[in-house]
Amino acid sequence: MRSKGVSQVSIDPIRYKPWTGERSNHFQRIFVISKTFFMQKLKSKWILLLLILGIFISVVFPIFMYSMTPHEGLDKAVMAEQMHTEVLFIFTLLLVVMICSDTISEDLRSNSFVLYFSRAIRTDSYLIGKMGGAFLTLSTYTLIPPVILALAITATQSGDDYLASFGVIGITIVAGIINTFFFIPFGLLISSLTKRKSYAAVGTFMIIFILMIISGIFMGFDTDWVLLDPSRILYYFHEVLYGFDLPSHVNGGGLAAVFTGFMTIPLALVYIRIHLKAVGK
Amino acid sequence: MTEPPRQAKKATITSNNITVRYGKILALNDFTVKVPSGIVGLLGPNGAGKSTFIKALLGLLRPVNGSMTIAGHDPTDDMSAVRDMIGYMPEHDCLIESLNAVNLVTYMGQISGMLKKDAIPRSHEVLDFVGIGEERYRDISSYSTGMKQRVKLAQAIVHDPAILFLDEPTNGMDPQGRVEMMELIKKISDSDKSIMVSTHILDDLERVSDHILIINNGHLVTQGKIDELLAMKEGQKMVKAIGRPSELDVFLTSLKKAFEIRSASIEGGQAAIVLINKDDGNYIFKIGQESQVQIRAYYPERASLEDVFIGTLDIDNAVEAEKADAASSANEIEGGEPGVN
Repeated sequence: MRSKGVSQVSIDPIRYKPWTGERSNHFQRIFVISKTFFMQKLKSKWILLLLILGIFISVVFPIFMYSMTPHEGLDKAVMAEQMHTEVLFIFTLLLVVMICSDTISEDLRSNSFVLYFSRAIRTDSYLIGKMGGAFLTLSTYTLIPPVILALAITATQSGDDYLASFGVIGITIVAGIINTFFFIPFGLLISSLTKRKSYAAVGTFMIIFILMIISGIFMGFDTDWVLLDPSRILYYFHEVLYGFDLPSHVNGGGLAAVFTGFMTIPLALVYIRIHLKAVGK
Repeated sequence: MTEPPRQAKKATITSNNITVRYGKILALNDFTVKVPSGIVGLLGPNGAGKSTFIKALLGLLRPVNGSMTIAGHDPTDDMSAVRDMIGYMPEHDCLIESLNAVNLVTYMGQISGMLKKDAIPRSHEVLDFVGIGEERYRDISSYSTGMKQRVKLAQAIVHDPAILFLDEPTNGMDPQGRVEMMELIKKISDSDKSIMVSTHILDDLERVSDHILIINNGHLVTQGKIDELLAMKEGQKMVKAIGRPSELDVFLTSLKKAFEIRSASIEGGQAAIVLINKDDGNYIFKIGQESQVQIRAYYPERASLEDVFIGTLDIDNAVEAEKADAASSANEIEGGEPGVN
C-alpha cells in the first residue's frame, strides 16, 4: 500500500511538468498577501508578547472589573473611556511600530517589488494587501478585544435593554476599526522611506511623539494646535462617534480635515513611492 | 474564477515603433520587432534598452508611442491577462530572504493565481526540477548565489507561464552551474514555452537559443535564427604557418592584399591568421610558397556568437557616429548662416 502511495506522489526531478489547475480571482491574490503577512507577524515573539501583555492589561482586567460590578447595560461612556485609555494608545503605537516597520522596507531592501509587479498585482493591490495584513494583525488588539469586552459587559448586564447595548457594541466595532486603521498609513509611509526596519520603527515612534510634544507646547498660544496631536484626534473622534459633544475649543471641521488627511495623505505618498520603485529608473 | 489565456502556447511578442523615455533619455527609439517562439536571446551592451523592453512588455512602463502585443494582448491595456501568461526571473537579487524556498515559491504561486492546495505541491515540484533539495527548508538568506538563481527560476515557472523572461539567468554561477541552468532552460522550452533570455555570457546563449535579437542604443540592430547569423561569417578560415619572422610578415602582407583578414598574430616564428575565403585554398598555398613559409594548417574557423555580436555592434556604432557627424555638420552650416547674411 505504501509503495503504491509513494509512486502516486513521486516527483520526476528531470522533466518540466506543466500545471493545469484553475486560477483564482484577483481579490483572492490580494487576500493571500494579507494572510501571509498576518501569519508571519504572528510568528514574531515580540509582537505576541506585546499582544498578550496589552490584552491582559487593557481588556482582561476590565472584563473582570465590569462583570463583577452590578450594571444595567453597556454604557456609551464606559466604552468611550475604554477605547481611549493611555494604555491602549501606548500599546497600539508600539504594535504599529512593530508591525509596520518592515512592511515595505523589507521589500525595498530585498528588491522584491519586482516579484509582485511582474505578476498580475498592481501598486494599489500590493498596498491593499499589505495594509490588510497590518490591519488583521493590529485588529487582534485594537478591534477584537474591545468588542469582547463590550460583549462581556452586555452578557452580564442586569437590565433588559439589549438593543441599546448592541447599539454601543456596533459603535465599538466602528471605533475599533478606526483605532486599527488610524496609524497604519503613517506607519507604511515611514516604512516606505527606508530600507532599514529599525529606522522605520524609531522614525514612526519619534514622529508621533514629536507631534504630541509640539501640540502640547503650542496649544497654550492657539487651541487649534491640539489637532496636531494624534492621540487627541482619536479621542475627539471617539467622542463624536459615541454621541458626545466636542469641547468648545475644538473645531469640528478642522478635526474632520486633520483626521482624513492623517490617513489619506500618507497613503497617497506611499502609493507614489511604490509605483516609482516598481518601475525603477 | 477568472480564466486568463494561459493556454497561449507558442505565444509571440510584437512591438511596433515603441518609444520609451526616462525623462530626457530615450531608452527605446521606434523599436519594432516580432519575437518568435522558442528560446530567443536578447543581446545588447549595458544601457542598450533590454531591461526597458522587458519592463514595457510587463506593462510596468507605458511607451509614449507605438504598440505591443503578447499573444494578441496589449500589456498596457490588458495587464492582468498578459502578466498571468508571463514568468519573470530578474537579474538582481529580489528574493524575500526571511522566507525559505518552499514558502517563497508557494507564496509566488498563490499571488500568480494558484490555490494553496495546488501551490504547495507545485512549489516542491519546481524546486526539485531546478535542483534545490533539502535546502528548500532553510531561509534564503543562507543560500549561495547559484542556489538563489535556481530559486529565482523556480518562482518564475511555478505558475507554468507560456512566456518566460530570464534576465541574466547564469549571473554569478560557476561553470557547472551555468551548464545546468542552460539545460533547465532547454528542458522548459521543450514544453512549448516562449523564452526570452537576456545575458552577457554569449557561450551559454549560443548553446541553447534558436533566435537572436541584438539591441543597441534603443533600437533593433539585427535579428535572426542563430544558424543564419553564424552563417554570415561563412568562409572564415584559420591559417597556421611557420617561418622566419620577416617571411611571415611578407606572407601576411600578401594575404592582406588578397583577402579580408579578421585577426592575425605572429609570434616565435609562428603565425595564426583568420581570414575570409569562400574559394578553395590553392591561392593561399601559392602565396605561402612565394613567401617561403610553411603552411601547417588550413581549416574552416567556426564563427561564434561573440564574433557576430561584436561585429554587428561595431557596424551599428560606426553608422550612428556617421549620422551624428552629419547632424553636427548640418548644425554648423545652419549656425554659419547668420554670419553670411
